[in-house]
Amino acid sequence: MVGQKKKTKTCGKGSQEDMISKLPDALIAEILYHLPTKDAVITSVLSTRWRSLWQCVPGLDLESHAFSNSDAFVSFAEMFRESLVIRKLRLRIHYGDSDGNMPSLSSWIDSLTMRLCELIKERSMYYEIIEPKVMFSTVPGCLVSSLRFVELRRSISGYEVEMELVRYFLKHSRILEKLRLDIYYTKMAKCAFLTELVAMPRSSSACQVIVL
Amino acid sequence: MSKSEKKIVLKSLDNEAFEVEKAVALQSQTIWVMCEDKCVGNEIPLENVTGQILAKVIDYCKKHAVVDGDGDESSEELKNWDTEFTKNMDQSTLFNMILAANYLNIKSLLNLTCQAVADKTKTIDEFHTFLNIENNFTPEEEAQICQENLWAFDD
Repeated sequence: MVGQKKKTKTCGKGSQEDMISKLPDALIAEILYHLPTKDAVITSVLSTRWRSLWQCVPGLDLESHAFSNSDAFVSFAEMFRESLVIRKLRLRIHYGDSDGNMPSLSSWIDSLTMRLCELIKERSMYYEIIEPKVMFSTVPGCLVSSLRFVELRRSISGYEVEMELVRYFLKHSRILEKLRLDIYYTKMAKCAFLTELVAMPRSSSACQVIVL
Repeated sequence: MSKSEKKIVLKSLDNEAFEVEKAVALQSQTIWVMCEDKCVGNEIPLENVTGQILAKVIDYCKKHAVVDGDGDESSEELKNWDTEFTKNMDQSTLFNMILAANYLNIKSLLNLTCQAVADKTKTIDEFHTFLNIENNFTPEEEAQICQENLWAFDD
């Protein structure tokens, strides 16, 4: 909240100087690249020089529930549609927060990734699905083929759906390096799950599957 | 430069000379290009890096030259080594390391040092204090900037 932000004027503080401002913009952007986009945006209030620096960051790391609705999320991310510098796209989508406007979000992901895939091909891409109710239609084919890392947290709505989603990722992700699953099954169910998991066809032979 | 020469001398801004294995130095794309182009002799002057920083860069390159390609076990060890490497660096060293990694074009070191700065600056207050950045906005200007991207400032 704006009001909560403490005013910290540090100009007179000791002899320590502001080293970071001596770095060129591109290197500051490299530092901000390692922060979630939200934190990078907040640096816009640091000083006049920082005001638009976050827009040069070569990556997006967004969490859907930071936005009041999916339209706000989409319109923010739209700003980067033409960006040529983006080399990392990390979307954390909380389907549980859906405001009934999911079609616009998924069609945006489709069109954004369609464009970004051209640029990102050999770069890293992350796609995390946090809440249940995920169907394949929400995972664009073009995105799947560029995925290197997939993390599924919590049990997706029921065993069958989860199984199907995992199968889908393994089958279609050609360059997948890691598939991480956080599942909460009973011992018996886990055993069955693992047996089925091992038998699934994978299009990326180098893929590491981690079950937690 | 003849192929038999395996050692290379790197000379810092303050004229400190470091003799290193060629394989260590060649992790720097900048040095690699210099050697490829045969535009330097056996001694390479690095006019943007001090001896103190260059020594650290060489430590990093030595570690990574030895372990690279040794398989999975060592990659975990290497990661821990990287964490220790940047853990106790003060702000000024970190920034000089970023500049050096950028100038020498060592991608993994640039990544590591930028990550280390990012790790120390998670909140806006940390940015102000750790990085010691002077705020030259009026409260009105600041409020307006917050308005533009309210979602990021809203918790």
